[in-house]
Amino acid sequence: MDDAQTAQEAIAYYREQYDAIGARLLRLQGDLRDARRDAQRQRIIATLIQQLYQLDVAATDPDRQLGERLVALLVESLHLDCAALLTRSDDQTLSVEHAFGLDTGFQFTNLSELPEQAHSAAPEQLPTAVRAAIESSGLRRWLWSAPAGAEAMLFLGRRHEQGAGVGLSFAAGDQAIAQSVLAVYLALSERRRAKHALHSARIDYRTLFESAQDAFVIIDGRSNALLEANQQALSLLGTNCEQLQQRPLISWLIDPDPQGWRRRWRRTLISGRAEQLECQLRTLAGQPFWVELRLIRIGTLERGHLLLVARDISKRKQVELQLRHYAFRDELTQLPNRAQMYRRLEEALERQRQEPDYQFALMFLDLDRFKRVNDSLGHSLGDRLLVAIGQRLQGQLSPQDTIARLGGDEFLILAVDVPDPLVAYQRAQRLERALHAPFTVSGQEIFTSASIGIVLADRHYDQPEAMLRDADIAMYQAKRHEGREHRYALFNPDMHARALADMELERDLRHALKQQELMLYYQPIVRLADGAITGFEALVRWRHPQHGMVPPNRFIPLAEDTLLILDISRFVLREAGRQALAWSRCFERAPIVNVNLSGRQFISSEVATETSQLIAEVGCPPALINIEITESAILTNKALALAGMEGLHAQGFKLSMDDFGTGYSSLSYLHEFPFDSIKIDQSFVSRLTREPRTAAIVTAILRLAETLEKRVIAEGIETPDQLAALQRLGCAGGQGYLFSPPVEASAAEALYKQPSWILPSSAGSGNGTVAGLERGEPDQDR
Amino acid sequence: MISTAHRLALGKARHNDAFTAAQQAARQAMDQLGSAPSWGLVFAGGRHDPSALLAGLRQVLGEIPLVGGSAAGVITARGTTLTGFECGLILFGASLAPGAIVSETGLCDTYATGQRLGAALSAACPEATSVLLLYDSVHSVSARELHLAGPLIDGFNQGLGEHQVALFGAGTLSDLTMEHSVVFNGQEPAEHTVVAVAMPPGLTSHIRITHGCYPASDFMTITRIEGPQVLELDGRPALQVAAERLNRSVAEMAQLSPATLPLTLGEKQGAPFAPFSDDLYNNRLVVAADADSGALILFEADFAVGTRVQLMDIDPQRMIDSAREQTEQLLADLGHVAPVFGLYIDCVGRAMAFHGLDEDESMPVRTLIGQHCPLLGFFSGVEIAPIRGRSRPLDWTGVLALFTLT
Repeated sequence: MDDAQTAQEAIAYYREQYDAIGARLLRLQGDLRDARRDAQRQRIIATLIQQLYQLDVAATDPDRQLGERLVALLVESLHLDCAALLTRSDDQTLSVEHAFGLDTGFQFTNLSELPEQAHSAAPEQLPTAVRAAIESSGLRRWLWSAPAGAEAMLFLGRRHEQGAGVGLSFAAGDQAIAQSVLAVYLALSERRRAKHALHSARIDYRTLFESAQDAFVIIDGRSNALLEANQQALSLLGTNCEQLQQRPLISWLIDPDPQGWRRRWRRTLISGRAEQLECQLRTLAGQPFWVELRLIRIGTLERGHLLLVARDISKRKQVELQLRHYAFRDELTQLPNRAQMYRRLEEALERQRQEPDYQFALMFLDLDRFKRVNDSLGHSLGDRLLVAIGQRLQGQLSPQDTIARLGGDEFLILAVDVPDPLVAYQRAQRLERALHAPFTVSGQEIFTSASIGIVLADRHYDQPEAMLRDADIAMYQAKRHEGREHRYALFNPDMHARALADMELERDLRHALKQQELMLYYQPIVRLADGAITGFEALVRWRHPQHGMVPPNRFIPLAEDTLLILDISRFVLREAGRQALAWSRCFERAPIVNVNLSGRQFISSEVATETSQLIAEVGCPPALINIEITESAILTNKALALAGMEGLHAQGFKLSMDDFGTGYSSLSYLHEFPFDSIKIDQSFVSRLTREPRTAAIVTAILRLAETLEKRVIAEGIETPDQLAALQRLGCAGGQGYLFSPPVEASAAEALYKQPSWILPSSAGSGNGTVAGLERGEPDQDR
Repeated sequence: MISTAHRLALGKARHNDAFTAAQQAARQAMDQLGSAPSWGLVFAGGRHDPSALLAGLRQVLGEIPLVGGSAAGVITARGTTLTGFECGLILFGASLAPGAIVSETGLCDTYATGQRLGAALSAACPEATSVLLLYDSVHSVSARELHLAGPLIDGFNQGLGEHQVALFGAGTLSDLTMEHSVVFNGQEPAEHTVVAVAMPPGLTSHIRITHGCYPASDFMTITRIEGPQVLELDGRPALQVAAERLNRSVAEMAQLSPATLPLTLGEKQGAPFAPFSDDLYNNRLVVAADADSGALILFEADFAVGTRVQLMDIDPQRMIDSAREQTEQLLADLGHVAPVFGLYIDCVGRAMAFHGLDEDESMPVRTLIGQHCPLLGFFSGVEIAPIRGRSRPLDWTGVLALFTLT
């Protein structure tokens, strides 16, 4: 065999093998294709369902697209001429919703007789109307699935053979395919409706969430991550979603206290009980604001979220703050008021209980003679002065100290770091110095001073009231330091005892009024020209059953403070009137009885009526009574005082200005008020012989009185020199221990009948003696 | 200057009602085009009434020339559908007006018709370089005859004379029953009609074909053929030869359909023993077997006695691979030049419904071309594309034409 032959045989061989392999390949490919086709047919349901699901997820308009895709897929995969989804348009009609290859007017009626499924194998079994509808559509083969109770029906049909191996008739499994895909379609539709409802609910939720007036923030219960926040939350915090996400929630709190918040969050998440609190947040720009915050768990214990509902309560807080301000602030000075001081005192006492080294003092500061400022310059200016004083005092305090206005002209100062009396005094001195400089209010320069009661906190105080009481007592003690360089006093238990004694005294004084323990003593008023007694000043005395005679300066101030002075004055008037009447019956020239009226009585417009009634009750002519009134009594209420005095004068009472020279000594009062006489205060008399200046003043008073035709009485004449000086100056009358101390009525009457003194002639007797006269006790009476 | 994006636009819709489907597709395209179109290329599902379809298009587009025809299915970048209720449309802006649109009716003598058409086109647009040719595939329903593309193309080329063009196109087909088909000749739907469009001078065509068939036999010579019926191969009854290869009986073979006959006859172009390449083969789908005559019936009747063919195996995966390879190669050939639109003419026999795959072979084309430009495709009967410099009718082929701006 040559090479050519071998090659030919090889070629033939390989051709034959190639053909054989090719044939085999063709057969295998055919078998494979058949198998694929079979598998594909088997997979039609799965494929259809898969595609429907994909569309259901991806479609922009699933309601429309899903039905349309279903019928398209069926036409495509089953090689149909038509596929249609029909839905119930009413109880008796199924109309085309989606169709390919079928007129949209196609419909089935008389549904009560419509089988759930049918195919063209037995058309004679169909209701006539149904059959007619099918035939009119030109379909030669059909099948449908119309499950009982379902809203939709799937209808498939062919009009002619489809080619490519697909004939006219439906395959055996096509009915099952129709049933299955319809079931899936209906399920998807139902699911979509449910999703739509859910979506609507979500929209409703979202609408509620976003339109809520409250701020909503939702936090993951496990990670504490921010999940959602509504617009109101962003608005409240002045931020946006991104910034809110970036910052820890805790950082929006003014007082973060992370551990406390975590505990609160966990408590809410675990218990499921909502919590509510108020806290302060700050905006992104740092602006603080108040919120009422509710912590609510949403979801389950295992997978709960925390809903924070915040409501801006800044306005409410502001109102509360204002109310609290009003409640704890003095409206005039804007300083803390009594209530606030009580709170601070309570806090300080509590702190001292916990920290024994914590030392503080309470100072009770009362302005001296502030009432005169009010009375003389008016309340408006007085108020402004109080404001200025408050500010000046505050300027002397440390930031830890508290100053409060208690009311009127009283201030309380809680001074911290005051461990001992020395420091307390230093602090009080500083306040004194601060008040030393004059205040200029509305162009008026006003000098003032204050009395300061100090109490050092110690552990026996457990209530603010006790400290305040003791500071008050100390302040009253300081008041008694009038004339001294410093007017402050540190409380000691003796003061308390004194205060208790005052209380006891007050009680006894009330008792005394009822038990007739009070009596009148009379001090003669002597005509200096000849030593004759022209009248007596009635002075009240108290004979205490246990303590004996109580000095007037012990109980009169108390009576003034407690207003018992009114009852005492009535007693004095009545008794003086009775005595004056009695003397008028005994003597041809009856002595005039001087009676002191308290300034308290001039706060009533009825002073004249009441006084005349009292005098009338005892039958005493008003002309026998000389009413002594201090300048301060006039100043309390000038108008009322004027009216009262004019009333008294009109009734026939004589009137004297008492203690002239101690107050403002307004000369205009002498002119304006119907005084008959002036009583020069004993302080002038005591200095008269020692100070030429005083003599000059007294001379001026005498000249003025002479001009105004007022009689002048000098009080407190204790020495012959004083008497001589007064005589020399031309003073008309006088009284004092030089002549006689106050004595009982019987002794007074005896003196009236026969004075115990013989006065020298006033001329040239400057240093002469007065027969029968000796220096007595200083006159401290009323 | 109108931007490229606005030179043409795609619309696609599917609806039970032809008029509505057409309206929707037209509105989509118009919305994208944003200016008056100069003409349109439209392919619509065979179950639509073509007149209603054109009416729907014109209701939106006005009286512009509309060229196209029936399609068993429509392809776009978004997917392939074969319900018969689709409508796909490409609108061309004013700058892409066609060189000429000519049509001829009367496909009984396809060669003569083609000749007239070629002459008319040459006269109307002597400068035409790229021509789209569409013809109604169905010649007779009762005898189930198709119009022959081979003589039509030969006649067309003859009519062109010296004028050489790149000819591509298809025989339109409504569905696999092969009972009905129309073309849109510019004005109306027409049967037994062929239409040729001299593509806009501003466009240059780039064409590739895809097959997916492997040779599965030695070369055989057609020794007897009558039209589409191949009666003998190498002197033996052709059906007998095929039955032996497929290990089936003649009777079984006669019952088979294109869907189950995994067979084409492939005519290799050029050197017979050159390495395998898709574009060397001119395949003809065996659509049926006639037990009485012992013939294999081809879709296209352009083989002749003496044609050397091979039995070709249809491999679905190979179709997909081929489509990907050819598409990638075509895009690579373009280099940096961007295509402005793609036209994919795909044999209906290749549609996924016939070979049991879940993904059809147009997938790579849709995916790759869709990234660059609008893509419109349709399923056809016979495809026309140049092979080795000569346009010819093809079967079991995908013809991908990409157009770039000149």
